[in-house]
Amino acid sequence: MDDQTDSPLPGAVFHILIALADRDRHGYSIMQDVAARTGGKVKLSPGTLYSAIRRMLEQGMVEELSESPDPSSTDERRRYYRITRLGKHAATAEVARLSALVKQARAAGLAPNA
Amino acid sequence: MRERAANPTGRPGDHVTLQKTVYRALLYCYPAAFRHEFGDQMLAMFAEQLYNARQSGNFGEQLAIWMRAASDALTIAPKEHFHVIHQDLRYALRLMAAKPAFAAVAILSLALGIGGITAIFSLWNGVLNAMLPAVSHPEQLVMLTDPDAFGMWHGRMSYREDGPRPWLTYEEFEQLRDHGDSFSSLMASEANLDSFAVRVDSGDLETVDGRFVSGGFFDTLGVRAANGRLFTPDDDHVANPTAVISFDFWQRRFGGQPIVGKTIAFRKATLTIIGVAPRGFIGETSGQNPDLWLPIRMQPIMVPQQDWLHDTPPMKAMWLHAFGRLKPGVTVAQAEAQSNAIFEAGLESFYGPMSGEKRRDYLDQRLHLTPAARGASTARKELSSSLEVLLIAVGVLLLIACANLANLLLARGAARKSEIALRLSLGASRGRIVRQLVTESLTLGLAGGAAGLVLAHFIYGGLIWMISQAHDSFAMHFSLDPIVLAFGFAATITAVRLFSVLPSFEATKTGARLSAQSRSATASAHEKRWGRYLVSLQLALSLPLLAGAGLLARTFYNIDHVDLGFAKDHLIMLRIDSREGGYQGARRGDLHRELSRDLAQIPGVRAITLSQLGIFTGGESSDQIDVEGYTPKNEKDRGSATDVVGWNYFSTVGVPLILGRDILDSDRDGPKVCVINEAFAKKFFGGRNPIGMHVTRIGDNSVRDTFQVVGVARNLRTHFQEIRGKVGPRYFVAAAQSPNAASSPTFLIRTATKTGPVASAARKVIERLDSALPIMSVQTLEKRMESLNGQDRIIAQLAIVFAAIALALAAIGLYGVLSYGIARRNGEIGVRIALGARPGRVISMLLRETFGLIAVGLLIGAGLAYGASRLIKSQLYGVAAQDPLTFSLAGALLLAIAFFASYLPARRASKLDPMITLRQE
Repeated sequence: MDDQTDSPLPGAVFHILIALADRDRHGYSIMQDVAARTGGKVKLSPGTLYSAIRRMLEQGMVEELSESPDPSSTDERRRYYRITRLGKHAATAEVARLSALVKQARAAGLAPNA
Repeated sequence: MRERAANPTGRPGDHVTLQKTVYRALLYCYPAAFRHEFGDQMLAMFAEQLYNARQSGNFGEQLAIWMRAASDALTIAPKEHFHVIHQDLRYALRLMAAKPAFAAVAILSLALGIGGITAIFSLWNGVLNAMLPAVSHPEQLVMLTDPDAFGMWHGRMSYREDGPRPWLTYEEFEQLRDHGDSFSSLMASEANLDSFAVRVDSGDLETVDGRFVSGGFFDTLGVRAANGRLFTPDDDHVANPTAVISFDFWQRRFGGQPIVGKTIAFRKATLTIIGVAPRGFIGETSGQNPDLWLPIRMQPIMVPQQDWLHDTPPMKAMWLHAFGRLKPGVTVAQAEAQSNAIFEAGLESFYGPMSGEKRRDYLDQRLHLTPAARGASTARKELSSSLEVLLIAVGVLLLIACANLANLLLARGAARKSEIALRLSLGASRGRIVRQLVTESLTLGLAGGAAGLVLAHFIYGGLIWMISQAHDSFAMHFSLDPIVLAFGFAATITAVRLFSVLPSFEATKTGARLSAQSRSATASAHEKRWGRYLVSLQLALSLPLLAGAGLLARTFYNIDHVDLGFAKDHLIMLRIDSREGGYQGARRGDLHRELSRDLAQIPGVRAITLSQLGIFTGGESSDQIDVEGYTPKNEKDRGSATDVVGWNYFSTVGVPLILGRDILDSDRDGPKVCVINEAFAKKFFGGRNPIGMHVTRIGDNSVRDTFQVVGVARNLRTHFQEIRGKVGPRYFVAAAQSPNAASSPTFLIRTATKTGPVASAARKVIERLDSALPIMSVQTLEKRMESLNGQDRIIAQLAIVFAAIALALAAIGLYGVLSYGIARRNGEIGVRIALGARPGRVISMLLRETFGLIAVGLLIGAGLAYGASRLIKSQLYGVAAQDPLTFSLAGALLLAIAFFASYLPARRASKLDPMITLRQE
């Protein structure tokens, strides 16, 4: 499996990793979480979402759960995903990369101070 | 995609059924595997988003959801397809790397087939269809003469006998140029391409190819100079000693250095280079590559004693092709009508004083205009049918190669059954696996196709070289133009489809259950049957190639061994131009006599004579004659071919005389004599004895010359048309009695020793006698025949190569299928041997089983061969298209090879050690 943790992550992938960082989710839940966090600015379509999930599954950043993490869930046909250690590492690396960029932007006077 | 019968989200009040149906249809834009994996979730998510947007009354959001779905279908779906292809490609490359021998064989056989067919197609397309390169708007050009006619004719022609005018005279061209208004521009160019011995810029003697052209040549073809300037219509009024060189010649000879002002010294004039034609420009004749163009007004200066710009009635020097660029709105028919009106008026004026039937004959001439975008061509007519035959042959070869590959892939598919069964059982769809297998085949195919295009370049070069042995100065550049590329690509894709689809489907037919009885994969009966069908197909396709090759080889043999009427070995033909050397009348006769005596002194020379027409030089001469006691049926019935020959012509050439005697030196001072051939005697004298009878030649201005027949010679073949055709009547007169007739004779030197040293010595003799006397050519008859028969030889050679490759592929295919089939039966064979079966019985049992597929292949092949032989009927000579001997030999050869290919694996099987075999089973 390719180690892509040092390359910039595609936007959709990063959003999905953030959505899965705190808990396991199914696809619709990921979409809702991303929309809520970004104030509706980022709305993942089914095609974009599942194409990214397909890639992340292949790369080992997420894994599919064999059963629902919520025992009270009535919808047995939803498929849940969990972030893996590799996925966390990739997300962390992306955060560090973006932080460094923001720092450089601030130093250049482009961004408001925190 | 897993389908659900009810609402997939389980949410109450979900009324978006129609929209879900549309979205489900959009999902089909995605690859099947992706749809299978995520389709349900995508549909559910889409339905929920749409439901929520409807609930909140947000029409804008609903629209946005649809827009995103459509955008996904256009952007995400293709990416997913690409991802699948990429995966399959990587897998295919890994498989190829794992089995390099298989990949190499597959790619090489495809490369040969695709390269061969692309090269031949490119040549066929170039010869037949390619427009004149570097010419502006070639579709506006028309030709007023015959695009396939090369040479010249001195005398007269008639429409009735000769058809439309193949060439024009210079005066006729001038009339059309000056009086017509159908063309914005009209030009004339010499129909022949000449070779000149020149000194470039005071350097050493070298040979260059060039032709005389009118001033409007470059204007009419719409080209501009790459350097300096080109001829203009003003060059038609004055004989300017200038030359324009080709771009190729400029680069090759001068390295692209400044060239304007440099000189080229010809025998009779020194010309100054004024400019260079544009890159890629070859003029008006396809398949030729002149080095330079000369002003037409310079012709009488550079070729003295032969003024082809002016005609004296009734003789015309017809030596020019004419091209015109039509004015807008003028049709070819209109231009032809006007051109003929001008042409006929010119004929009336030229033949004015004549009367009666003769005048009617002389005026019976016509022009025929044809579109000239492809230009003239020396080889088009001859080559096109040969190339078409080759194209079909190499197409059949490609089919055989594909059948072989299909068999190999079938076998490989059988070997991968466990892998495929596992994947099917893990949920992969059959379509997905077929797609992967087709991608593997496509990878092989594209690699083979790419290698084929590279190989095409070299095969093309080889073909051009072969053709140029038969057609002097034939040249054509290979170009991967869009048509050729498209053809190569289409050939590749067709080949891939042919050899991949069947094995891909067969390989996935196993179902999910693994074979419980064998760890190694087993071919199904279905696959074995397909394998045998393919081998029968290969055998069937090979037979027409074998039979065709046999027929063409026999044709070439027959032509090469045609009875010329005399021996062709040890005969040198040395042609000089006495007229250009300045020899006239009695001086010419003296020259020929002196030369004959000097040449006869060369060690190794057995005998020497001369002939005005030579042997297979392409020239011909014919007269109107009156024969004593013969009443002609009509004007045409009064014609006979003729030649002017030296003394002892027949004894030197080696043609037996049936009656009378040869022409002798002593005839020089006596009454005019002639020798006739058998065909002449049969036609004009029937059963009468011709010796002592008279033949009267009716020359120009009704001047009559009477010759007494002194001998009858066996028919001899000295002209190309006589090789495949019949020998017509010909009478031979003595050069010594008509010295002016032998203006550029060929000396025929019979040698007792090797011809090489004699030919060199002969050149020296001529140079010693007169260093300014032009030597036009020195060649042995054998060499000349080789070049004449060159095309037949090439076609036969290529057909044999194709047939050999086809046979090899069919044998390999047969061997492979049988080996595989026999290997699957090792257990059974081991048991038979253990029970006492002798090796002979095992072999005959296995061979009997292959008999069926060989018999079917031969039967179908015989039918195909019968049909295919009709395609090449026109190319054959001395052998019937359905010649039983050739067909039988081809069938026997195929049977022998098939038997041998079957015998080897059968023999190997008969030597199995039953103990080892049964233990393995």
